[in-house]
Amino acid sequence: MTEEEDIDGLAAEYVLGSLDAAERTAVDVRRRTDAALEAAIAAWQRRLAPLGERDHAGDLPPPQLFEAIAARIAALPGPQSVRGGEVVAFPGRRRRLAVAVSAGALAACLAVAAYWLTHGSRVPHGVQRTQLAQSVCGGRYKDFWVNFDRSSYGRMSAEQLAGLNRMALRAYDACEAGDEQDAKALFDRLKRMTF
Amino acid sequence: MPVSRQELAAALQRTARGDKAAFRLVYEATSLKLYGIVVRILGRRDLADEVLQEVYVRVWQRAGEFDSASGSPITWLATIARNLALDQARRKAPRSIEEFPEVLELPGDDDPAGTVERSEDFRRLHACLDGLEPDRKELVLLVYYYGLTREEISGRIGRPVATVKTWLRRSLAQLRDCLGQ
Repeated sequence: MTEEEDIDGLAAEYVLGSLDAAERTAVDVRRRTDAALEAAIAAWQRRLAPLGERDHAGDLPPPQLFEAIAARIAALPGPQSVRGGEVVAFPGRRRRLAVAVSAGALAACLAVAAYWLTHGSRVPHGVQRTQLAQSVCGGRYKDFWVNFDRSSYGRMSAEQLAGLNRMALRAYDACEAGDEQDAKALFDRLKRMTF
Repeated sequence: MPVSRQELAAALQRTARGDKAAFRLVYEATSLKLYGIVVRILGRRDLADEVLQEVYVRVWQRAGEFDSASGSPITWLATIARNLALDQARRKAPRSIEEFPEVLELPGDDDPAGTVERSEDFRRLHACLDGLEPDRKELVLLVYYYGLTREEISGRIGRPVATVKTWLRRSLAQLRDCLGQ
């Protein structure tokens, strides 16, 4: 099997939905830096999209769900397209490392995220609330990295990447601990950062 | 609440500018369908409620990324819903075979905003699916609609996981070649 075939098969299964947790997370991480994989995923999304045209509508969602969503978005800074930027200078900016080193640090950060997202929810039955909190907090943590400007990676030093990830993990910890005020402040600050 | 493809696309564009009324319109027009996708993949309404919340929070945050030139709004929304549901499904305990129906029932068409072009895409894809062996076609559809992993499929059909992977990859490659894109 050629590398191209392997990438296409992986992308196809990712879009179809047959990958397990570790494989899905690995693809989520890899697609950020692998243009061929990202393009293959986009192509498979186009190919399989028509299946969704016959996706049956099920029962109505609970009537209070929109109010819960409205409360969530009220606490957010706003859609990306209208979000303002804030330039943040990290200490130690003088020593810029090579792009490869930064990419390595990023990969390490994302590997931590991948581990948390795949292993963090392995808790015994009966603690579903904790699972859901981890899921929600993990989602916010993952959202931050998903929305983070990819073009910044090459400009950032390894120290900056590590600092950014430390702050993101603090936000995750605060969220999981139920400290919404701290979590929101940290996630909001992270979202305003530009490099 | 049926809205046209154009109306939905316009509502997403307004949502991207922070218009909460437009966001509500998007929710009212699409939540039934997206909830159906999420419930089917997760098999549990309590988790589906949480995931649907995440779906629309993400829609609010990323509405500006929707590009009407590269696809329909409902496809864009369904992709977000499927991905979040699949992510959540992978975090919970593996599902038993009994949680799934013995026979796959294809969902009916509930898309009032369909266009000629989209219907043609649908026919082409299904013509290609019909070119697969019947059991391979069922395999592909079962994974797509229910989000089954290779391991879950393996348990269902009593074949090794490696065999399931091979069947899936070959079926998908055949689909790709048939679609010619």
